[in-house]
Amino acid sequence: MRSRFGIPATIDWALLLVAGALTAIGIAAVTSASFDPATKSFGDFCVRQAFWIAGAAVVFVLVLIPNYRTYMKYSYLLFGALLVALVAVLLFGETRNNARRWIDLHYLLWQPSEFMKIAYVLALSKYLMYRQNYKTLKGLVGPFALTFVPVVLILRQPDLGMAMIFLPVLFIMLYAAGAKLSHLAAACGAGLAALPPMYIFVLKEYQRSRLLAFAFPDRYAQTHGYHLIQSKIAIGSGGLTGKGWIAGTQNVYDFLPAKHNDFVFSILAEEFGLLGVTVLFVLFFLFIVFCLRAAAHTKEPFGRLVVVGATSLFAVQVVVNIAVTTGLLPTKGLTLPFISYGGSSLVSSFILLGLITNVGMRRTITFTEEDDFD
Amino acid sequence: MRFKKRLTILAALFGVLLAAEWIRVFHLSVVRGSDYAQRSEDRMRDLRFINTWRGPVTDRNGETLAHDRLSFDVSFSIAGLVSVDEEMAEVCRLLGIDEETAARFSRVTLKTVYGYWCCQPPIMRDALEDLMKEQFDGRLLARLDNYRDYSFSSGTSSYKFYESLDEEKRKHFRWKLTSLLRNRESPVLAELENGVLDLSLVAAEIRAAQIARGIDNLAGLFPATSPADIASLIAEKIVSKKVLDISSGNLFVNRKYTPLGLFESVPLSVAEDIEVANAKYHGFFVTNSLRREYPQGDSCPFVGYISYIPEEESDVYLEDFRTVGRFRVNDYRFSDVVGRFGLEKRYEGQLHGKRGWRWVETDASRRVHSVLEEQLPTPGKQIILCVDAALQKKAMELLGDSPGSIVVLDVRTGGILVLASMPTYNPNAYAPPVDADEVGRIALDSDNPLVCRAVSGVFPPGSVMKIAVAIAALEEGAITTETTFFCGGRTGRGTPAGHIHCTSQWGHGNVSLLTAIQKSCNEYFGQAAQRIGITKLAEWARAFGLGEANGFDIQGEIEGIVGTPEWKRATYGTRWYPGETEHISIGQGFIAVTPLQVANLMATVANGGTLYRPRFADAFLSHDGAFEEVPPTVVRRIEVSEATLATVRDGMRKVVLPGGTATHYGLAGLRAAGKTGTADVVSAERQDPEIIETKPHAWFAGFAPYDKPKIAFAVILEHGGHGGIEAARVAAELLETYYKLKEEDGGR
Repeated sequence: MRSRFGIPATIDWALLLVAGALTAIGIAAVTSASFDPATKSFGDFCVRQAFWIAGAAVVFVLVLIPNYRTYMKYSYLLFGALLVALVAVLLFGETRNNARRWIDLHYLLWQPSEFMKIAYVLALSKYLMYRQNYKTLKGLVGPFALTFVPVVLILRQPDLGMAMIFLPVLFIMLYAAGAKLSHLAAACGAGLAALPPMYIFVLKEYQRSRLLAFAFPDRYAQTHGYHLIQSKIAIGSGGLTGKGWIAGTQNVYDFLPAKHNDFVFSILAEEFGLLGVTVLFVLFFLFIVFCLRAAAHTKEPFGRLVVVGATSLFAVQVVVNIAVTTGLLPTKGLTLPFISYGGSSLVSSFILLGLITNVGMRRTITFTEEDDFD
Repeated sequence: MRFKKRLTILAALFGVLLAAEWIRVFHLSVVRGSDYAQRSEDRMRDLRFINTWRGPVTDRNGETLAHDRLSFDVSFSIAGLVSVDEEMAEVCRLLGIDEETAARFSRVTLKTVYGYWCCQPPIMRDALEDLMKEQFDGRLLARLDNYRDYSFSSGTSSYKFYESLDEEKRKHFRWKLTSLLRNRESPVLAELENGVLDLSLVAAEIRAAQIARGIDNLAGLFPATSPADIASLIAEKIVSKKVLDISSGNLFVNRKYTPLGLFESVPLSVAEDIEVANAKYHGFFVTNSLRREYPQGDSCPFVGYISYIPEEESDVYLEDFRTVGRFRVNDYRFSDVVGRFGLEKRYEGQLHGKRGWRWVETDASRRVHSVLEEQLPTPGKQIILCVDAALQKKAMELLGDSPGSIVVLDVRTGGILVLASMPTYNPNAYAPPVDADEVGRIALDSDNPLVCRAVSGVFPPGSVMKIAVAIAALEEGAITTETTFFCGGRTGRGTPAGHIHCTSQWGHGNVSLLTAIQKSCNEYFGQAAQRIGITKLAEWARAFGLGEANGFDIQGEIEGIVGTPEWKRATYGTRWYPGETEHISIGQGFIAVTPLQVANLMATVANGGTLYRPRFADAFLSHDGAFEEVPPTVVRRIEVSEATLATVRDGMRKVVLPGGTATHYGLAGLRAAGKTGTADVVSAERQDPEIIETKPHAWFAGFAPYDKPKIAFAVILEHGGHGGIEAARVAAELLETYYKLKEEDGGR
């Protein structure tokens, strides 16, 4: 079923509108963050951000063109390729701020872990299409193995924030696919039991101190707690209506660290206040609801699992990022989707959006025989 | 459908999570919003002081005795820095520092800078504890131990530690820390002085300051000799604490734009070279600071000196304040220098300017972006003294190395032209940077160079006293100008101290008053004094300012003694012997006066009976041009007839004429009138065998020109010998210089 202009009538314009609004808010925040009060000029962050958005939009359209079932065919291959890329990062990657996360492609720095998220969702969806793979306890070994290999590689970089979002996505997808709650509970218990050895053996010294800084912010005020305190001051001093665009002093006077990426939410709260932030919350919630609606309307199991997975990637990242900036979770480097500055983050967000839209607009024409729907 | 239900549950889950976060934001921004708004404001508002200069001290001709000299310092900041090693090498080359030292400096600077910025709490806490061990006693250290775990990592908890101290400890603590940061434009300093302090920052700054300066405070703790050695030792210490290990740290404490002083007081030519080099090497640049300097060196000890506010006096200076934002603004800060001695102390109020300040908005790097409120500074007033620095210098030269003093007063105003005292000291040793060796030497010198003998030294006046006796005798009607006494060389009545011999062994025969003054006849004044009586004589001596403090303008003025029967009874509990009156009449026994009192006696005789308060300050000149003269202060006008004074002046003139006791050295030609004195110290020796010096004190006091007096003078050479010879020679040379200077200047 197609419209007069050859565009599928089932494209969810409301979803795209919300995503567009969020991207626009991101431009505003990054512009504000790039202002230099000494020279009264804007840095080039906002220009680069605009270029990245344009590029991401093109990628988004490209993702829409093939039937998403094509991606299913290559999803294990893609997953394997990105595992190789993650190993390559550890071997030849670029180090920034004590972390080896990027591959230098000469004209840009590429962060494979951002794309691993996507490959992970595709591969997991392909695996969980089949009932025996999630209904049995034995079948659950696969998904956990699929999760831990990339997680361990990403932890080695180290990138705690990125690694931590894989687990919630796994549980959400298992739950959505219909795994038994008792199995999930058992897995949860095993995970919790693994935490203390993780803290001691896997976490790096600086990650541990971040956890400690979170627990005792005053004690680490000059180092790790500094982020948190500055962020809380920014949010708190914004009050109900905010200090106005490019008028947030925590932002403009550089008190807020990493403000254009990880702590972009604090800028918005400082400059637009609780009211502005409420709009942001509503937009994110609508975004999640619209995405899940696309999944609900899809019968085909791979497609709907992809949508659930992509949505949960967004949702977990939003929830965690805001929790970090408001001091509810320890600091870790996680961007706010659509809002934060950063090419890899934007492009991967638009690819995910493309996958969701792709599934959404083809939901009525794709069916498989072998599936056992419930 | 179950799948749809699960999706609904997921949507609800995310909805709940987002709602919880919304409530969190609501809590931060609305419930606690005003608190955070205040904190946000505190973070960016800062008080910047604008320093001003201390007023200069000049003599009557504009010659400088004390002033703030502009010092060129080489500072360093990381903003714009390309290569520490390369830039440091270049700057060291310009400063004439050899390569090896330069390399060491380079290392030290690098470390300092990183130590300064990295400021990792655990390391800085250790550094601070080290500092405590070095600077504090064990008790305070023990208290720090209680907070070992987290005292120094944040503003909040170090404030807690600070709060736990009682008021006295707190003051001590601040003072100690401040004293380590002295003279630096430290942004932490302002906070520290107001009790808003982050010890980790302070520790970092102290480290930086110490290393950069060559470290007065630590110098004694290390066996190393040169500042470079000390600096590298400390660098090692810091390296061992892994301050340099920035791999796990973030440079949150951004001090990129804060200059770090490295070399102080470089020559102007080097400063110029460095400014030129700055075009290429942006890391190093020239900053200015003011340093107190005393160009006259040790020839004007009465100027005194400045130094840091002593801890025990800090309350006095820091009492008044106003509040700007969260800061207290005093006229003084802990780190200020104040007058501690001499005129610098006496006129602290006029000399000390008023510091200005700016209440500014800064960014995280502490760069100023806007000025919210500002108070411009008021420089200190210039003090113009009555002193003639050239004559003062000559007087000091004349005294040479032996103890003694010379006072020259303006007879018409009481203004001090010369107040020379030997031994002396150089006030430059006390002005920061303090010359610790020299200060220590001065403190241990048994001759006590800090004591101004002209006002704090008391001596028997010897025959100079006869001037007061002559006036008293004439005024009391005990004698007339016609009265004569017979002098046989020895008086009839003795005292427990022995008989008095006259200046002439065979006696002067029958002498009148003028001859008695001219020849300094002891017998004549002994008999005259008996006729006056001790009570009246003492009254007259006191009227002329002997044995009396007149409220002079530097500290240490001593009253001296003019003995009376009442005084003796109160002091010794014994009766007054008539012979003791005779002793007083020749300036021996129970009489002790200061050279200043003697000079003032001469001034009073010369000016017709007005006793002025001697003073240094002649006028104050404000920076805005306001001129404020200090009027002469009259202590009293003495009821004395002009005829009496004329007679005495006549006698004093005869002293320098043929037949007098001071006929040499051309004093007559120098139009001088005066009185010699040779004060025996033998009796003192008898009481105290430790006193080896038995030569008498040599006095010569008088005025000039004899017919139209302008100046009065008193010269005393301790154990100098005969007044008519040694002291008179000094007085003659001084007068010669006086006339010569006057001529050069066309009438001073």
